[in-house]
Amino acid sequence: MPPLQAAATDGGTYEARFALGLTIDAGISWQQSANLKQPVLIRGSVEPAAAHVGTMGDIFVVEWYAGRLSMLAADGTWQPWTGRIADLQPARDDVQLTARHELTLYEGSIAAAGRHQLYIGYMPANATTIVYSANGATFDVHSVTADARAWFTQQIFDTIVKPRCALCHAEGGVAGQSDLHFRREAGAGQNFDIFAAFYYEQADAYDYVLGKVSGGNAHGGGMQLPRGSADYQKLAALLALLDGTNPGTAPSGMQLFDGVRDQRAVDTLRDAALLFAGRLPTPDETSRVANGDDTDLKAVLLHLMQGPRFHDFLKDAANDRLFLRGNADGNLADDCGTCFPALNAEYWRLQEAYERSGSAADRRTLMEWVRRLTYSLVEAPLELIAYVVEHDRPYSEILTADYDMLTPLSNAALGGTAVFPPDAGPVDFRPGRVRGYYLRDPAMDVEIVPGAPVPRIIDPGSMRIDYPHVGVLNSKSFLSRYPTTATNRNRARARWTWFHFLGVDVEALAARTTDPVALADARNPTMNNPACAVCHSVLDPLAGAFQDYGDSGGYRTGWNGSDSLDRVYKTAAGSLYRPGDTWYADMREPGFDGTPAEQGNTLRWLAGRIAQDRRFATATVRFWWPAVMGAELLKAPEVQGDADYAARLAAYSAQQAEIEALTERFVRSQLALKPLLADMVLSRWFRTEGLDSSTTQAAQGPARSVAHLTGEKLLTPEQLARKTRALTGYNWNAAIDPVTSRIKGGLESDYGMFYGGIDGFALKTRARTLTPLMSNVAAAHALEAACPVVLGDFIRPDPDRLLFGGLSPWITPLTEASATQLLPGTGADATTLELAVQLQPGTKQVAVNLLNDACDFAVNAAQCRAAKNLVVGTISVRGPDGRVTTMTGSSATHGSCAAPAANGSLKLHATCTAQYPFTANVAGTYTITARVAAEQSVDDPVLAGVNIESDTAAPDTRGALVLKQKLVELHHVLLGHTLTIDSPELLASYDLLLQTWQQRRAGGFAPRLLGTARACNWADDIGFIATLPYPGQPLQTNGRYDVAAIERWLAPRTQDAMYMQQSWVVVMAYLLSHYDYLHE
Amino acid sequence: MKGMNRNNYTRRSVLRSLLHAGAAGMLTGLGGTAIAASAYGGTLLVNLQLVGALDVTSFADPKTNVAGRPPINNWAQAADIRQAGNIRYAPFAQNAAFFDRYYRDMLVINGIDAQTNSHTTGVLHNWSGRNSEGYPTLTALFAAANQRDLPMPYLNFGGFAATSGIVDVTQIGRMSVLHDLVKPNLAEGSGNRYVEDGDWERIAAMHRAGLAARSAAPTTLEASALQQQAYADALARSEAIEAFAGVLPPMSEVQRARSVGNHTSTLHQQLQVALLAFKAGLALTADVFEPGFDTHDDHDVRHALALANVTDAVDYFWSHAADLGLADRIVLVIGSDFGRTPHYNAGGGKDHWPIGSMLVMRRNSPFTNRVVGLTDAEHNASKIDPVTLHEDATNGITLHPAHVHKALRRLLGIDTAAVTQLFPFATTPDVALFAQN
Repeated sequence: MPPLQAAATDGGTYEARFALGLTIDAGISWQQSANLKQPVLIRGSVEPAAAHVGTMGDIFVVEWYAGRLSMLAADGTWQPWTGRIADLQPARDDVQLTARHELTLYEGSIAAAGRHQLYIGYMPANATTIVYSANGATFDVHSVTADARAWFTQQIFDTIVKPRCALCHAEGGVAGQSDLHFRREAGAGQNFDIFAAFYYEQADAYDYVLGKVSGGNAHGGGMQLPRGSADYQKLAALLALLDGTNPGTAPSGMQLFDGVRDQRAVDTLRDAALLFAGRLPTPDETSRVANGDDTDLKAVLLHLMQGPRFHDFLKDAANDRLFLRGNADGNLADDCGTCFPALNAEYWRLQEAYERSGSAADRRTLMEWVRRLTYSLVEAPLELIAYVVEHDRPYSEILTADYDMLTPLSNAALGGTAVFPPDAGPVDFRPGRVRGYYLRDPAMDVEIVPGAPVPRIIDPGSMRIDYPHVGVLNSKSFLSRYPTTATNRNRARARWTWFHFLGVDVEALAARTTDPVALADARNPTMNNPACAVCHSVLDPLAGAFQDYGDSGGYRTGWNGSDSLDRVYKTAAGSLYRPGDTWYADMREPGFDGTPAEQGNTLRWLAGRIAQDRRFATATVRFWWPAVMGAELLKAPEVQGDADYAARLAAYSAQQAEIEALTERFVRSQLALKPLLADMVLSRWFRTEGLDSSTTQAAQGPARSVAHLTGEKLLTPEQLARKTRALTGYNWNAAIDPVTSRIKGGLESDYGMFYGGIDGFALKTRARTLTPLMSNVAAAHALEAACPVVLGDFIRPDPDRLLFGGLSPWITPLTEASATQLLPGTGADATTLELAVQLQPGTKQVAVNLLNDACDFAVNAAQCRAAKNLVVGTISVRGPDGRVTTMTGSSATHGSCAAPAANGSLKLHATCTAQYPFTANVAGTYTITARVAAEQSVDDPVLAGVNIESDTAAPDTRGALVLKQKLVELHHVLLGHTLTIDSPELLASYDLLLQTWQQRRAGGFAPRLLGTARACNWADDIGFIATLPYPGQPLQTNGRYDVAAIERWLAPRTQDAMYMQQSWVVVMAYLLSHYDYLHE
Repeated sequence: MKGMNRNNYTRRSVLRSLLHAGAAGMLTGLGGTAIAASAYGGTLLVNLQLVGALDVTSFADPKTNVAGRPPINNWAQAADIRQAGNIRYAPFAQNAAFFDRYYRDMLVINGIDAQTNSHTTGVLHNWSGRNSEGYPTLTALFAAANQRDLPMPYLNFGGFAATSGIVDVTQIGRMSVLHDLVKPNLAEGSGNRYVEDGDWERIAAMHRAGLAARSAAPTTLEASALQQQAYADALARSEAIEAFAGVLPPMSEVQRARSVGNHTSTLHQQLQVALLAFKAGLALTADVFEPGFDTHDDHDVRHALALANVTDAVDYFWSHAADLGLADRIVLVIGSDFGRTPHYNAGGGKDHWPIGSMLVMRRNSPFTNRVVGLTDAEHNASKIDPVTLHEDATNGITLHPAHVHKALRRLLGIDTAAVTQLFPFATTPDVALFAQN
């Protein structure tokens, strides 16, 4: 936008910036003039002076025209202005001034010719000065005359009719049954006549047509022109010209995002990193984004799109639309019992081995093979989509690929050409082509085995073919998920192809009325009866393109591969079937959108046509929208009388406009999906975070609500599982998937169904807000994970810690200094621990602890076979004045875990604290020296700890400050919050830690994490111990944990002498169940 | 600032404002201590959705064949229509046992024109009462109008579940997992707690307090505020789910999935869980579903299998409801997308037909043991007088789902509820479907 110089009413100089511009092409170029009936958009921007950013203020817009002044009011209307500042009303009232504000000042046709001048400015709330654009932006509006035909030719035909309306409103098109049929081969003049004739036949034609194009009035094609958009205004102008009236200004769409604030780029990065990569951004990524612009952000987003978590994202998102995993209960391998000799041979080999032995092991082997083969087939199209995207191929290849994705198992069974690395797992996928498909021919010899799911192939015959892969469309999974019947005749497959890959819901075309008489019509009504043809004229040609595929997806299932036609149809008396036919003669011929299919592989022809169709690009945006935005697509409102119709229409229109904009960029990128996903993240639909102020565009609140504009999206169960695993190292309720041999979290399987997940069969819609039962899932997840998370992280070496790096588990709210020492020796080998600490006057104490007690308990002997003891000889305190006070070990206050020993020492034989109080009389440096020794009969050295503690948990002890700083980090990592140690939220968390600790320490709680009255189910994650430096093999040959051995190893490492770890467990439960942990 | 009164605007939609005003649970969830919903002792509603389109001519709108016309039903070539009380039914599948046992407890509504042969629209129309998007299911409306602050007022096991935002819908998965979730702070097996109960109460209070301030902030987006409220509300109401523990049976007594034709049916278990949730006072309505009725080929065999499983499940439902002492409070509505053609196609299947039926079951009711609505011999809907319900080809009306829904709303006592007024059938005439015998 053209910039404008700043001035101020107080004559001062402010580094504010302003810009104002008029555009007729949605901001691609900025104009200084426009024609009288031309739709325009006028926008302005304000960049307040740095001193004003962050304060509240008003924004003003003033117009000068023909000697009169007017001002833009907050409700979007233009009001006369007297010129007195006291009378000036703001266009944006009481907003928080941010670095930049962009405003739509006007949208529509300008009604008055002549010179218009606009000014823009702002006034901080705490000042009386208005900072404004010194010179107005000048626009000259010229009076012109235009007739409807010329307007149609110049403004409508090429930009609206050809790329949008005529795609469906044409003979043979999706809307071919409507009353409006453009002629694609004809020019603007002839199509103007068509449109004008149609227009003049409609009642309330102006509202009717504008309603349709903006998605209302049950328009089958949904929203094509957002209300208020430039194209919408152009069309409105045409209609007015056809009516012979002044076009004025057509109804404008609400500006959904006016007054809405976006999140910071680094916050967008965090959300996207968790979404695409299942992890937090690296410091480098964060730095690049924090110091860059949207170009840098996009580059980093694209960099996130790699690795196994991105692979999972792609597959899960695709399945959310296609529901292919709804197949999973079936046994796809059996569907074609004669097609794949290699598959058949392997099945019978395993089956007979089992029959011979009757052993459970052989049965497991058989079932494992069946399940893995089924998995290989079900997942293949999802893998194909992921493969295309990950390899940066044009996204249309998901439909046109002449290959499939195969696992070593399916590759062998189907005669595939895929090549695998030597270490490939049984269900690792690689691209390949199926070469082992046999058509049925007379030479084929099979033995029917009573009771068996498949026959035994004796001789497959000679009609081996290369399977004619057509991407997802003829994958076994897609064809089986949407099976057909003798009368359905591929219509289900056609319906979902239209829906997923062209964005057209064919069923919606016939949503209103079906005449029972028409349905009773036995004279081929789908061809001849208009009530039926409304759908079938669209559906059936595309169904015909699937002509080579039978009920369960078999290819050319007839003898000699003649066709896949239904047997009854071919043999019935009076049938229209003729030898050589490959499609039903009583149906429309295979084709697409009015064009007959070419001979040969009609499905491949279809895939090529779809890939070239702009609607494929739009459908792709729609396909991926829910996964990225965390919300379902909005549906067009249908009934104007509904209470929320206006809000729904506004939201729907705005969403469609965004989809269109994304489509445009997707097309320009040559159908590259990763940039599309990045563009979606950059979209305001993803990044919206809050309102500038409560009064901003309040009228649009219902529309924003319907549009589900929120920066806080509930994580799906799969996303929550991955987040917890990535951030904490713990995978709740994880088990080894017997099919993939990979570890799968509980939220990725059974628990997910209770947390809004889908199974693709009964449950197909994800829950987007929490319900009470989901809340219990979240609570169970947090409560059960909290202890293992804390336990594991404190066991890990400091550099490997995910959350508690740099923090000793022995630091308490009382701690002023702390030290630990491993004591490898035994008996008389006393060691000196020395600590120097700055102390304020007051009562202090030295706390000495045996930190890693262990007991290898012998049940029969009812005692420990091995033990660790810590012997405290003396404690000396040297004050700032050099005076030394020495206390004997046995002078401590202690519990039953210690007892006096020889020479005045104290022996700690279990986990507890020996306390030695002293008084710091003056502020200064105190040096504390502890003489300690170990007694041990196990290999693991004794760990001694010495804490210097204050007598009260003041908010500023060194311990309190360290703990608060750790909480700052945890809030940032887990919740994305940026806090300081004195933030109220942080203090609330610290208070939870403090109070829990005080309660635990007061008595009644065991000083360890395991083997207490509090559950700590580390074993509920089958991969958990592998994340720790456990020296042995954690799993036994049966795939279960060697619990006894692991617990022996864990015992000394989970002692909690200071009760801090169990206090951290409670804080962790709080953080893991926090709203901002469950939402991103 | 100038000219703007902060109290004069409403950022929430009218719809939400209206609903929130009556949402005690939601407000308490945000503002203060959690409270348990008061006990619900009213009617319980279950919608049984038979997915794919039930052939009602082989069920409660039986049709024999018409001379000179293609056969409507193969069973009619060897058997006659049967009758239990005032209910005529087809001698098909296990219908006899079902109708003979339950005819006193059912109203059959025939001749309902779904005005579509699209599954999507048929489902939408039959279960929301309107063939346009935007209305909730009857079950959602029932929950919202009665006691939406129960922990899981509206259960959905699959099938169609539109809420229009007036109530939350609870998805239920496997029973074995449900056992683990009713008391999240209790470890399975050991019975130990993960944290002290007081710790968790403190945590929950912190969550609620944090969100109360946040959702009320003037710069919070409307949808964010709703998300936050939903979280706080869920947290508050979830405590009562513990009551489930008292009624959940051991896994050995859980209804098992059954193989029906080429699909696995969980209908018995769905009905069991729904009843147990009712018994525990956690829910008051549920959508249960059963696929397998879209029999475009091999109709007689496939439909008989599916229908027999359904009637068996409904029998189990009423028996178990009686065991639990709930039977007298329940209304069970059985319906489908629409009907199936009154003739077979070349594959022995039946295709889509817009005319269907509904069964409304309730024990000891004055409106039962009746059939209302009419179809002719070839299963075309006949027009009826909305008061007498007699055929009136001249001035009568064709029954649509809207008529049935309007009557059901009245039967269920929710027709005058504030939330119901948001989804009116203003131009739909009343039809006295539930008039007393």
